[in-house]
Amino acid sequence: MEMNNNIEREIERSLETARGITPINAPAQFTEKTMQRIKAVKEEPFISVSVLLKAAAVLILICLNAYTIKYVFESPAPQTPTVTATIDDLANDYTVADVNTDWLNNKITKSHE
Amino acid sequence: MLIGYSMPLEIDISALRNKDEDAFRLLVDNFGKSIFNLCLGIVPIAEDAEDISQEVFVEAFKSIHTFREGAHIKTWLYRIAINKCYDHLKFTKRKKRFALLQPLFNKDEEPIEIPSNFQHPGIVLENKEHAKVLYAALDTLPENQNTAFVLYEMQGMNYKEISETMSVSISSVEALLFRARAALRKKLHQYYYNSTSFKK
Repeated sequence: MEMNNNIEREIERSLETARGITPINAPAQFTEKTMQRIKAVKEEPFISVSVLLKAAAVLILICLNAYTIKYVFESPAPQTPTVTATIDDLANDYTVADVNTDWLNNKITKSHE
Repeated sequence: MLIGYSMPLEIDISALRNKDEDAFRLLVDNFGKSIFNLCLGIVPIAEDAEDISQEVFVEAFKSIHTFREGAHIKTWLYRIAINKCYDHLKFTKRKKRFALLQPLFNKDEEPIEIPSNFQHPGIVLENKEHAKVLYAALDTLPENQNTAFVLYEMQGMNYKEISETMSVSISSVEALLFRARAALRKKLHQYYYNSTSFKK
């Protein structure tokens, strides 16, 4: 019970602090500092260098993309020769003769020695 | 066109639209203090609040052409300031890096974190510890509840001014304040309950 009362008291004190805040004056030179910032904004060129650079980068990217797309669409499709392969061609391509068996022969000779 | 809004000096809106430096100087002179205090209400670090306040006027200078004829300049500046403050908080807070994951978790369960760099010059020393806890609890509230609470309790604005600043109806302001207070009580209760149990 006492704990609850203490908590309620603390809550009220915390909420009371909101009403007890004293309005304070703006810091020294506040107007001057603010006016300096306003002047700096006023003197800023309409288009700054950084904005120009960003725009240039975007433009270059767009041009590159456009060129790539154009290149892809305009270049003729690669002509693949029409080859008719028979099963015999395939068999000839993969004959035992293609297999290099030198390493096996060497191994056998070495083991005999 | 001249507009005066709870300020002794009048602001020449057409001169502001023409980006007249003297008109802006007058604007900063007139509203610098209230904007700075508002920023301190949301970002309780004096240097950051000063920087944000200056940014508010720079933003006002850049976008004065968007200022609606007949609107209150103070309300407009307040809106810019609130947006700038939350942008700053989002940028600086580490936990906000995982903002995408936040909706997956229940925000009510989020424990309050006491800020280590708290330095609000408008709070007397004896209230500082309680204020720290309050700010930490405020930090866990949704932005609109936080804003309504700061404007009403810290800035002393009335419902009508808050509704204009936040572009919501007066009944919405009442609802936001009700929810903000309820959520704050819950968070503070959790915090003090845990710290009291821990001390025991």
